[in-house]
Amino acid sequence: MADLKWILAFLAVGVVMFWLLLSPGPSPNQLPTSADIKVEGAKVNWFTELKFSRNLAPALAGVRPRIVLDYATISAHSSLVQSSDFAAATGKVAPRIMVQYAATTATRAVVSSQGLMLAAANTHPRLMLQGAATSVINENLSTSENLIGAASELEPRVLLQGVEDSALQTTGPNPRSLLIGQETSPKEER
Amino acid sequence: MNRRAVKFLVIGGVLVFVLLGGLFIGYSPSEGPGIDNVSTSFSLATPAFAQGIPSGQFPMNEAGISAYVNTEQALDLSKVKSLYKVLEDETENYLIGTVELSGYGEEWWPHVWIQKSGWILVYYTKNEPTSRLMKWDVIQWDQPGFTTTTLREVLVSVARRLGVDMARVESGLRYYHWQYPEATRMLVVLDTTNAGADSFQYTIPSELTIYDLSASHRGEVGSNAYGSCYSATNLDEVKLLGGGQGTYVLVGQVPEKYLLPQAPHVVALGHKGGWTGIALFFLYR
Repeated sequence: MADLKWILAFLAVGVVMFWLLLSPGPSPNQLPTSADIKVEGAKVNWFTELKFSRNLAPALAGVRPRIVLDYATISAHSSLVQSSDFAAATGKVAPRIMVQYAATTATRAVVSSQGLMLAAANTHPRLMLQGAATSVINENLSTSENLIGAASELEPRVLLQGVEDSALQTTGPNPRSLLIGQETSPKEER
Repeated sequence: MNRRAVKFLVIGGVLVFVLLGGLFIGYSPSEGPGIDNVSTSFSLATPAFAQGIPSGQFPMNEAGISAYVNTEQALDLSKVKSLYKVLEDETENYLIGTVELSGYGEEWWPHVWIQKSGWILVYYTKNEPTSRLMKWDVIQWDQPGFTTTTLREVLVSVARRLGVDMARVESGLRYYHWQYPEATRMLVVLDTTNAGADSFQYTIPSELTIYDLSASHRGEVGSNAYGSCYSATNLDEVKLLGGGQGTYVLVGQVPEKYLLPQAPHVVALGHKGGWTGIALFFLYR
């Protein structure tokens, strides 16, 4: 009987130790905030460390520059693309995307800008305009000698992206190959 | 069995367990993504990357909040090429472009850089608030648990397509903000209500340096014939984010004046219909 007590005690200690070993530590969702940002009336819901891995740096170093203008404001687009400095700047960084998500008025300024075309001719971007508004495409792009000329010369992978069908129907012969992001050469398709 | 032998067995067993327990102290198998389990790397040292990557170079020149992982295995880039909505660049070593976040509009689709040697980096551009991380569609007003992020969801979907070890992805996933290399901590405060109003307050100790505070507001208030349904979040009695009827998520930066230390800042939720919620994202060290 005494032996059984010892065996039971042994098992109990074992169970407790296993429980201690395998039970979760303090959850990152429930870290104490006494020495941190103090929140009253709601619980701190999540916490994490922000980390950078040194090993990531060499891999990142091989990435080519791609974007010159990205989500810029309308006024910024208008002033930037009409600046002679813009062409010079893009010539240095060889962007893969020239303009992304330009607003209507900005896009209008962009596509009529000699500066943009010059910059594109120098840098051979993969994607020239993205998210251009339909009205702009109808008004300017389809009739823009500059843009068509640039596309012929540059053969960007994507000339325009995010355009609507109504625009596609009014942009001349075989517009889809020119406007949709296919891996084709606009020069060959036109 | 000899009673003495049994005693010896029990005492020996206890000693073994205690020793094993000592080995495992500080190890928490259930810590979530982004938490470094290695105690030596839990320091608040300045990340070394600033010494190696110029500010004008990728990803510092375009990335904001990010989630990344090193899968530590060679990746077949052809498997994921079709996931890209916009493939901005493709080389022998990497792909980069935007990948859809299922069920979300384009403004929520992050950029994804996949390197053949095993790295996956998912990020929002630097102009986007950190609060774009908030994934409200997995949250109910009465169960406001923060379980995942928008970037994590995309990273996981990409990793699955690549066929990598998902356990490694879950354990190795890290967050980092490329515009705030000094920031070492991110804290999310989430509050929801369906009672018409609720509030909480936060106080920033003076010893902390806050680099960024952004917010994500959720309104799921439905509609009525009078068009009176709404939701709003006020900060110190000034409207921060809010909208009318329907279901929506609004994100934005919180002005610097709400980062003043030592002063309690009151966040108040109000709504008519359904429920509403607010999530605040603090980046600091």
